[in-house]
Amino acid sequence: MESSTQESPLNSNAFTFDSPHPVYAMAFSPSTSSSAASSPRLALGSFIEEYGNRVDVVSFDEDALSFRAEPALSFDHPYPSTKLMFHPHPHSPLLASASDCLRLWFLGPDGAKIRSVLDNSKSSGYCAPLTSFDWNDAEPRRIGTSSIDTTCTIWDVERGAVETQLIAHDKEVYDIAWGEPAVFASVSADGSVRIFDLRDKEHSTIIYESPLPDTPLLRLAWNKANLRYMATTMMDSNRVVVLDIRAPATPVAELQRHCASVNAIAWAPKAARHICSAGDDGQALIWELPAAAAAGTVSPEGIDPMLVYTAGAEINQLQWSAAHPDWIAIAFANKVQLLRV
Amino acid sequence: MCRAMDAGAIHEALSPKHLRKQLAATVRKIQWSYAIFWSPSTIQPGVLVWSDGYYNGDIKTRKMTQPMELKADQMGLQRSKQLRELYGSLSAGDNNQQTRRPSASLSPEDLTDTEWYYLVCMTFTFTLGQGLPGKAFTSNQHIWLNNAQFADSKIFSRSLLAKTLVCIPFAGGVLELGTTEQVLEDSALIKQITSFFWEMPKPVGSEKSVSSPQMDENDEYILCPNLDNDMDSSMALEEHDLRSDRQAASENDPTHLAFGLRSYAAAAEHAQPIQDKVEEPETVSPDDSSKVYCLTRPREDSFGTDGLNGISRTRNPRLGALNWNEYLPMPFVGAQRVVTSAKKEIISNQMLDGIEEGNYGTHNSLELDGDGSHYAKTIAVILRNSKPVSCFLTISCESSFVVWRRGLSTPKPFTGTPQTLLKKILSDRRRWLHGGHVEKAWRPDGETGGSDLLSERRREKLNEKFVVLRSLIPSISKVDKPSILDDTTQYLKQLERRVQELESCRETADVSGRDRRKQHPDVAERTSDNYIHKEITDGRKASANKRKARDMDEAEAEAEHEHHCVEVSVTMKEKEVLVKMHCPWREYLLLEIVESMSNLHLDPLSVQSSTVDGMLAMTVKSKLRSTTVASPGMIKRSLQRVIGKCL
Repeated sequence: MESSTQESPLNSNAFTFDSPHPVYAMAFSPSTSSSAASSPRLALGSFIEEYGNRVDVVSFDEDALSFRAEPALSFDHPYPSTKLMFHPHPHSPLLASASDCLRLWFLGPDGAKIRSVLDNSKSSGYCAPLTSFDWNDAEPRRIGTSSIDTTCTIWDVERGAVETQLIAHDKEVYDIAWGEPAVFASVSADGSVRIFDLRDKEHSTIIYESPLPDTPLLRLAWNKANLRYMATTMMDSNRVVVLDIRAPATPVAELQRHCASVNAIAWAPKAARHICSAGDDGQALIWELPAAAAAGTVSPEGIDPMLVYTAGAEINQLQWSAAHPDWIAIAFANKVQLLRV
Repeated sequence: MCRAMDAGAIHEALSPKHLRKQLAATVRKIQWSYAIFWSPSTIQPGVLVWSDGYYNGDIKTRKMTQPMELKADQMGLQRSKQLRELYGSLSAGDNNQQTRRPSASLSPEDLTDTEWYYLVCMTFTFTLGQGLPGKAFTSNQHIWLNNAQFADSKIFSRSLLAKTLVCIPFAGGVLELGTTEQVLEDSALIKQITSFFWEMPKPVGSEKSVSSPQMDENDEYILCPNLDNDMDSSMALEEHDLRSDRQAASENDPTHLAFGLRSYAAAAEHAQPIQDKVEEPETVSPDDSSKVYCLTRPREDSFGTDGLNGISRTRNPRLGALNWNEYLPMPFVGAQRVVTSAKKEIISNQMLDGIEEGNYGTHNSLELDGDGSHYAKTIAVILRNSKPVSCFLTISCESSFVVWRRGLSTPKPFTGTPQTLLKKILSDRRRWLHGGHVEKAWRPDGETGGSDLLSERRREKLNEKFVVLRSLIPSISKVDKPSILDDTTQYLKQLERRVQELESCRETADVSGRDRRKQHPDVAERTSDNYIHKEITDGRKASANKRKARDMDEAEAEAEHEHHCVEVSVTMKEKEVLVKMHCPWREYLLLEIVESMSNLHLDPLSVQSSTVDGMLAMTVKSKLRSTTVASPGMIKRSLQRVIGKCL
């Protein structure tokens, strides 16, 4: 594993980590456990189409501007993980991963150990693979998972038990995101974005349906800085659809400047109107949404992005660090790059 | 190109009067909105500060000191002066309370947006390389920025009203010109500006000399404002503009300017009850605006001078906080909008509400269950609990990103299956479970799952089931699965045979025993009639009860594990019946057994019994009385009943 800084003037502020295997899942740590000057730390999940996969943990030294692998915290993982996420509280060194089921790993001083396997398979001996999950920031006991068996399962991770399981959609659920301690939204292959409230499990609300029928919606991101807004992406589409939950059905904006399909989206953790998207065209674009008062002045050609970064290959994953909002991580091919905003 | 100019000419051109007039003439000539000259600060090296400026944009209200007619250029000059004065007053401290402004001077509500922008520009400073002026200064090249309102804050961090902006390094400083219209980059224009600037300002000066000499003095006076003096004599913010106690506010606020804006924001809010309908006002709330100002780094001495005289430093700590080195002025623009026409506010809010209501209508039609109120409640909860967060994205100067422009060199077009990795991740990955994987040798620590989690579990379950099956089959010797299955098959066949035989036997016995079935089984009759198929034991032992009557060789009962470890075996050979039993001992058990046997027309010939550990083991040889017909099963059942009684 090497780390290098790009020397070309174009990428003078992009720092690359070369991984031995293709990387898909990535997660930023809320902060580092030990060092006083916290530096960005990333967990990288490999994508190997086999049972044996790996999760590596690397940290980035902002002074030396280089990556440092932490091999003690690397561990083997069954199947490629679809998502990795650290516990929202900085002092809890837990990492959650989802592949065939949800697992919690404890990243302690002497390495990574499995803490629990949360498996809701009941008697069949087979649990439906998870497509994604989200850890509730406000209520860290809760993790919501989405699965191809059309259900979303809410886990109480402290007890290691299922809190509830909802049949969320008519088809596979592809992504889930928490908004409030008891409210989450999910997107599905049936092309809808639905909001669920755990206090009233009987009802869910569709706030958007993709215009072409049965176009799956693949990814969902809820703006944590401004809970009014969510963004979603569609299959084989270069559009990022931004929704206002107060005005369902009509998107606030459709951001259409990618030259190929969009693979990942991430809202800025602290700024309320900025979102970053990355796609198969190898570009990462940062957009600024107009304020509501100026919404009427958007030109008919649509909104242009503010900033662009061009990587060399299709970007598969994008994460915006909440602990260090000036760093964005992207993953393409075997590389992970940290971009400074 | 400018620094090559003659130094003397530079200094002359930069004398205050000339500078102002140059700026004025330049801007007017090209019909732009404003011009600012940034020059290196004399107080702090490496910093560009406001040196002078000329405002040529829209003006809202005019205020005149004398009712004299002024020419256009003079009006412009005066306006610029007034703006400067206003700036001075707003940035002044709380010593202004007692004094009032002369009526001619501007008050904040007189200004248009662009004028506010111009005003705020006065507060800016730039370090070398920072912001447009800084960059132009260091690179010594002009910068033309189109669509400034879309520019990110890294490049152009000030208000977004100007649509086009040009910064030209010039004469030891940077000349900045801006306009509210889109003007495409035109190097000829730049040359024109710079060359024009170098012309000696005779025409302007001559115009000026025609007008009242008082203006000149005012020029000087205004140009060299000694704000210390001004404070007492000059303007105070008008009372009716302020909502709260100024003193208290000014203590709280980092800057007076901020306070001024804040008061207007508050006033506008107060006047517009519509604000409360908007749960999260898009325009800046007062808290946000003050937050903005608080967040900048205070720079004690950064107000600097206008290049001419040293404004006393004590004035400026609060002003220092006005440095907007990093922040997007969106909130400022918002505040501007709040400050300026209140009507606009009403309209925009109403529009927003209208849109919301309209959308609510469509939203209702979308709901799964038509329960609008539930969703509304959810939304209300979400938004009530959400904290307003600043809207800024701080973009560092070393960003990896570049500004996006239309027509940016497009990357090589992507040919291939879109979103391959994403689709693989999301698709049904069961195929990885069942096939294709090779690594079975690898096992993770601590996890029971082997190479194939699913089949491992299945295998365990299968094994368990085999064990259960083995326990059911009496004659299993080997443990491996094929032999278990074989033995099971054989046993099943045996059972089937027995069932057939028993059923045929039952039919014959039924005929004889039917009428006796109703009698109580314990009645001592000649022919005991235990053909009531009463199961003393639980149904599992049915196989044992169905033993063929004639099958004496197989009459050996298998080890029956009744509830209470009662074992009874009856062997019949012609008329001799051998009964063995093993059961928990109790009082009178022997007696009852013998009694029941005699009831069954069995005459005991010999009895052997022993009691060990509370268990009775008994062997009885008996003889069947000739007249009776009894089957071993029948005998057994009755004995079992006896034993089972009162246990």
